[in-house]
Amino acid sequence: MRRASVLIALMVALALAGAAAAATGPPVTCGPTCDPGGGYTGCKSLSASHSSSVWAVYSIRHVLVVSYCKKNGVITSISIAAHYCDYSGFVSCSPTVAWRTGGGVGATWATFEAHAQWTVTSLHIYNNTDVLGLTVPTIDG
Amino acid sequence: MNDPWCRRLAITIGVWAIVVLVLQVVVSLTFR
Repeated sequence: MRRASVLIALMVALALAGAAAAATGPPVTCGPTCDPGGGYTGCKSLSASHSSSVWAVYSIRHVLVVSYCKKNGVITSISIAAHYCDYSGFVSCSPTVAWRTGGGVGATWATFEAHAQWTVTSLHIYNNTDVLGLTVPTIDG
Repeated sequence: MNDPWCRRLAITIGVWAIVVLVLQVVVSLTFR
């Protein structure tokens, strides 16, 4: 009789412990900052631009767009999707070179630099270079 | 330079040069 009582008490204790564990709810969803094995997974596009305009006189915009994919926070593919100039009025602009300056596939980050040559009027008296930088951050999502 | 046509041309080129220079400075300072 005593052994049976001990057994029942033990079963009740185990049942209570199981209920308590179940009551704690599902584990908290962890982002890239708190899950060492996690990080962003998916594909994105990032853009950087410089612009200037004076109404009815000129408008100029230099744009760089980079597309990339990450798996668990690590870049698996990355490329320059677009590099262009939009302009109107008394300025002209021409995108020249754009390249990756750091990071990339296998890293969690990447940096890019893009150049464009712009000038006032079509006479091209003064040629100027605009330098655009773009950074793919380690933490995104 | 006393020729009126020549004088008009010089003034036109001068004004144009000033406009270009001002635009050059404005765009340089604001193209960010």
